[in-house]
Amino acid sequence: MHFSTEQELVETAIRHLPLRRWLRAPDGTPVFQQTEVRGLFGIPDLLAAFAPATSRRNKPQLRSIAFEMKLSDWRRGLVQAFRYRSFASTSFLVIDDSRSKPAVANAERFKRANIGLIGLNADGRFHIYVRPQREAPFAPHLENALTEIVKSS
Amino acid sequence: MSFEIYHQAGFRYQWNLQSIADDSTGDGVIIGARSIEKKKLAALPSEVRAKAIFDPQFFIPSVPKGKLATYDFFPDVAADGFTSSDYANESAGISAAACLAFQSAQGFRFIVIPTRYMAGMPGNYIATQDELFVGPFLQACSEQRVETPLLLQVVLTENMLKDSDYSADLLNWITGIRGLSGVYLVAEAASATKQLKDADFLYRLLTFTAALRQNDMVVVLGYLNTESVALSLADPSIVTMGLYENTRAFRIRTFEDNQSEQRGPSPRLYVSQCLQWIDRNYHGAIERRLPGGRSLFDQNKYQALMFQPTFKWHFTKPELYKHHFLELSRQLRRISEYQGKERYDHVKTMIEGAIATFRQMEEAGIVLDKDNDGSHLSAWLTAINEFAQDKGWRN
Repeated sequence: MHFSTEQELVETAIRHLPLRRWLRAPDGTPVFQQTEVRGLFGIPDLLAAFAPATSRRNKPQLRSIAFEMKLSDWRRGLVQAFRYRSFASTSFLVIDDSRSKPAVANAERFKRANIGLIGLNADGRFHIYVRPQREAPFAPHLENALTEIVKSS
Repeated sequence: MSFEIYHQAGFRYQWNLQSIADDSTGDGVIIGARSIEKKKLAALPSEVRAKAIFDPQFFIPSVPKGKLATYDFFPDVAADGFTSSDYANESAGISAAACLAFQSAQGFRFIVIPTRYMAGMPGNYIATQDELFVGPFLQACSEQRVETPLLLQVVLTENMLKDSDYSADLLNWITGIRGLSGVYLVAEAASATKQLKDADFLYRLLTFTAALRQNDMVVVLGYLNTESVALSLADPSIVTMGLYENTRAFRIRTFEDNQSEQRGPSPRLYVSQCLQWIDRNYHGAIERRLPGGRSLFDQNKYQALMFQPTFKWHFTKPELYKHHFLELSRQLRRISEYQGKERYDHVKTMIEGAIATFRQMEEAGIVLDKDNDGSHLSAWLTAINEFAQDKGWRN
């Protein structure tokens, strides 16, 4: 069974992707999670972030994961997911797994761009085809803007 | 022949004038009436006006948008409400005489016969322009004994340009107008992309421009973005460069009354090696991933300011545009040193170099969107190669 809308993909991703674990956020600590976050660079379908407690001397390093969801258009999805790397330390394209073949065939492009690729099924099962490395966002001013968004939530 | 560089000035026209004065980035300025009150235009220094071209912007004669209402000869103002038939019968002559007298009194380099924008390929295009503007202006010229060279403003839609018979008729009409020195040519592409990506459109514009030049006409190419580099092959007399996007691409909707407020674009920096403007939010990726990425950004006094950590990037900052003028004018001046086949070879090398740079970025894992990538360049290469083939510059 495949997804009919991107909204279904988003809802399934929220229910089934282990965001807390990926953010390495301890149980009971608050995790920021919001759909369609505006005011950054592009509008990620889903954004999750966690600000670990730090000493006074150290600037808090926000851990953030941005997601672009696409039923099939992986090229556009890759472009959008790459934009999110300007403010997020990790970015994924989540694609309907029943239509993920062309994207998977181009996994090398995702690896080169350090963008994750996930195939998601309607029943919530998912497969990580490309697992990205966590990396400092490209645009410090947008990273700061995201930190403000998370703080004010 | 070498060509001149003019600034297509609109909102914040002072930045254009500053750039010309401080950085020698242009030979003159085209001043759009929409952006400057009549009195303020008349108060510009005489040396600026002497090299200036006035753009009356009669494109939609019933809509005196912005400062157009301050010009008593703007059709809607002159006729106290514009309708085609009444204007032709009653006000066209009065408006033409006043517009001509104004341009003449300001000492502008050329006098521009205005035009009305007509969508698609209307069968009455030539008759309408003749009746409303060309006839009355020529009449006024003869009455006022004006000797300043006359330019006819022509707005070509994509359909007009791509229809061989239609564009041939327009060429015949233009070259048959007595007393005309040249054309202030504006072409409107149907697609609203930030860079021109239609090879056929560009090729047709090259061909149309070259045909006018072969008829010994002055050709001023208005409302250009970076494609001026490619259009230089048609040997235009003047190419233009502009500040905000509405001076770098002609879109009739920006002259319409009901245009809704649009969000400002994100700041982009012109990167001469890429022949492209690149969004500030991608700069970090380029610097980090592309070997020697920092050096891709042209070094000049504006770049030095903008790359300081305290600089507040915003699309309304003058440094972005002054940087663009400095770098693009440098490229255009270099191009203008060449002629014919040598110019083609030089421009082709520039475009191929830009394509190679984008390829390096892709290989370095930088994924740019369609407003910032090199997707326009293959279309430019196709257009100039086809044009060069026609000219016998390419085997």
